[in-house]
Amino acid sequence: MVHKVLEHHDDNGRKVKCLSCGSPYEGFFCFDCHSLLSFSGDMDYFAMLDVEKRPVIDPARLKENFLKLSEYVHPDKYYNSSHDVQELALKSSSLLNKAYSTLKDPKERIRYLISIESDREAPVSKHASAETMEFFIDASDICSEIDRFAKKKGGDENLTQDHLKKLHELKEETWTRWERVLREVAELDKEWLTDSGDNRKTKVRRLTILSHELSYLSKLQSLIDELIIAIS
Amino acid sequence: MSRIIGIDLGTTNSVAAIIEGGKPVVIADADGQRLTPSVVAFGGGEEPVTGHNANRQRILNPKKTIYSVKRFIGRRGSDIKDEDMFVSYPVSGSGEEPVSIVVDDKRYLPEEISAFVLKKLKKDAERYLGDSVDRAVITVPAYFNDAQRNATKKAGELAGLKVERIINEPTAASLAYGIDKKLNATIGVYDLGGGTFDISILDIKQGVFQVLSTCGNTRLGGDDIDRRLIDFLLSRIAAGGGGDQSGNLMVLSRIREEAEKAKCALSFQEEVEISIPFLTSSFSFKYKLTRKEFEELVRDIIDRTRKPCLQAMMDAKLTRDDIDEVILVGGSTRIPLVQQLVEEIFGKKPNRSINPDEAVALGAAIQANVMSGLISNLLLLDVTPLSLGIETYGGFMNVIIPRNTTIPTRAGELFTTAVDDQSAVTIQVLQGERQMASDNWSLGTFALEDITPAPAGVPRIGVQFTIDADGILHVLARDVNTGKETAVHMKSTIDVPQDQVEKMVLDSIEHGKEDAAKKELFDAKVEADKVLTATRKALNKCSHLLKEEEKSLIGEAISRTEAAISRNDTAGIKESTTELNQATEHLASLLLGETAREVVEKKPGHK
Repeated sequence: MVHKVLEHHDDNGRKVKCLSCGSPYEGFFCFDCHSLLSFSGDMDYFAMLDVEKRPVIDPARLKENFLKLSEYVHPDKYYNSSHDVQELALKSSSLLNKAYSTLKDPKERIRYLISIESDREAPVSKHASAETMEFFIDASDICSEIDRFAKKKGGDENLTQDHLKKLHELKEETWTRWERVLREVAELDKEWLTDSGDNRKTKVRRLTILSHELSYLSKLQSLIDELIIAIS
Repeated sequence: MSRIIGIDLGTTNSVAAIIEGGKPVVIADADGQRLTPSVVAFGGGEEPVTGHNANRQRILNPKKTIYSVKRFIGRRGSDIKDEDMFVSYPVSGSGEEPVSIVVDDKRYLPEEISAFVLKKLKKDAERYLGDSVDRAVITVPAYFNDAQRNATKKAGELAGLKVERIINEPTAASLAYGIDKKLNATIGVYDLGGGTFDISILDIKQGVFQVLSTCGNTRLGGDDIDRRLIDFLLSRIAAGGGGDQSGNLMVLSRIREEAEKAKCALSFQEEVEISIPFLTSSFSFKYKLTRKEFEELVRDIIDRTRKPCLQAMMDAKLTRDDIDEVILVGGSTRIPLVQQLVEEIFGKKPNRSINPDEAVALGAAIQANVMSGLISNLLLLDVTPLSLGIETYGGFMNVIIPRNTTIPTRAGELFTTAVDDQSAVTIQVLQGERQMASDNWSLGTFALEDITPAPAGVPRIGVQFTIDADGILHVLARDVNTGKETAVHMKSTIDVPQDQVEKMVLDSIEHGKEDAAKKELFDAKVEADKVLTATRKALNKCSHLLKEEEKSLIGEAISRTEAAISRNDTAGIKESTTELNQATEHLASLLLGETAREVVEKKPGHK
């Protein structure tokens, strides 16, 4: 098996023609002749992982594609190849990992989608809905109080249990809100691929706000998790 | 090309393995031993003694018998707390210096000590295979940082091994566990060894072993349990009239040996009789330790593994019900209390089907065959255990690659200048999870130099951080304006230049040149120790059959021998050993009778 480093792209810069066997291929790897491909920089994460470019994607399919591609591009598979091929495997594998970690997390995925949809337009204000903001602030206050408690050593066992209960309630509530946002994302996802023009623009604007909601909620989630660990 | 072997370089024991007939097998040494104690003893001739032979010297030669060195590898003086210095040999290093071990006025870096252990494993593997071995996959605790990984790699190089891959211990164990089963499962690997603790959560699917998260503590293990038990025994000895023995290295080494034995015994029995005869010439120590008492003593140590487990589950975004199996790895998981805790944390009985001492090495051998292309239907996707970042204005850490990112991974960051015509920017690279830069581990600094003079904020220097599949960091800087790329050399405080390391190795060899007097002393000590050990064993069994004056004669001979050993008095050792032999003749014949009776009693049907 010969692994050749290929640097050829077609005119739109996306399709890569495998030089070893001539098959047109898009991505990291030519499945016809089993060579690593050098892909062009403007290929997006959705295309890399062969999933539709939309707000909601099937996590099982995403994972399956990621694992399959990893088997082809991971540096371990090219350990006895030339230095150039090893470098390419390291580069491809790093990029694939980045693409997967971005797409598997709804918050990151939506952010990424917005960034490629809006052609890096000026970002709208960072605010989430007033209701989420209020919840976030109240919850953070509770967390700081518990944090002060956690930092004192030898806390009272009953109080610890109370705090734990409170944290679990907060976690539950945060989760409910997270799910609610994701349901709205799923609504926006409907007919996403056929939407165009103003319709798409309106959706992107709404998605932007939802992505901020998700940011606040995920920040809160990790704060709560940290505290649960600290006082358990 | 030569075969690649798998090596588990452990805190207490090391193991080498290889694939044979499609199965990973442990390489035994010439004596048939599968585990090699990670112990190096200096004293005799040219090269230091390693493994079992070195372990035998721990009592005799506590200051020159180096063990548990893995706790110090890749660390700086300022990282080592007093409590970590609890070893019988002198450890030095403060502030920014690397930790070093001083033997006979020579300084050794921990990786040099580890290299001696690796050399022995290499030699054993060569004898076993009948071929030279110069390539290896070496395992490290998953929670090891960049410096610790680099130092381990260096240990391999110093031993003449090309380190083809560094892999994480729990991940390696998961390979050994999962390779033969067509597994599709989410598993936890709980690895509590002699000095380190790791928990990793993995998804195994069609031959891909994907680590979802990992957490741990690189200063938590069986050593801490031993130490707690030693402290307890010291207090019992003092209370029983044996005086304060905490400063007596030779006595301490004996107590340590007994403590370790008692700990192991309590994994299989409810109580153990700890007996240390003739601790001093007039005091013998005996104590009955129950498992319950032991558990109360060490509960808080074992409980320190709880938080990392919870953290790992949260990072993997899983609850305990999502985890199908929890695999136990590492000698300390034989402790029933550990198994109880694991069951409590994960809500299921842990799986003890793999050999806790050997699984990691077997996994390393599997990965070795993946590297050589001999196994193709298996892939390991590991993560970086600690967040990587840089220090920013205000002393904060700015995370560039978060923990539990799948490796290899690459991330870029743009830097600029703060004042007009600034020609260089210094960047401090950090690893850790704390907000403040100073609370994290500093991997070192690098400088971006030769910046074209320009107003503040104009220059653009892109820095690319790559963590490779070994979990090791590489930095590349690129001037965005000129496009010039430079591999950045990180000035790590513990990164001792290669030539200096080579010099240190040369020094140690030169220093160790055959010295007849030393050799004689060494041999005398080994002989004396054999007799001492035999005598103590015999006393344990049948001191009740001896007359009082016989006992005190033996006691005196023991103290004289011990005193001669600690004086390094070769003639004295030889003389007192002979005396001791004479004094114990009666004892030996009694022992023979006692042993003969034991044999008879153990015959089947005989009660």
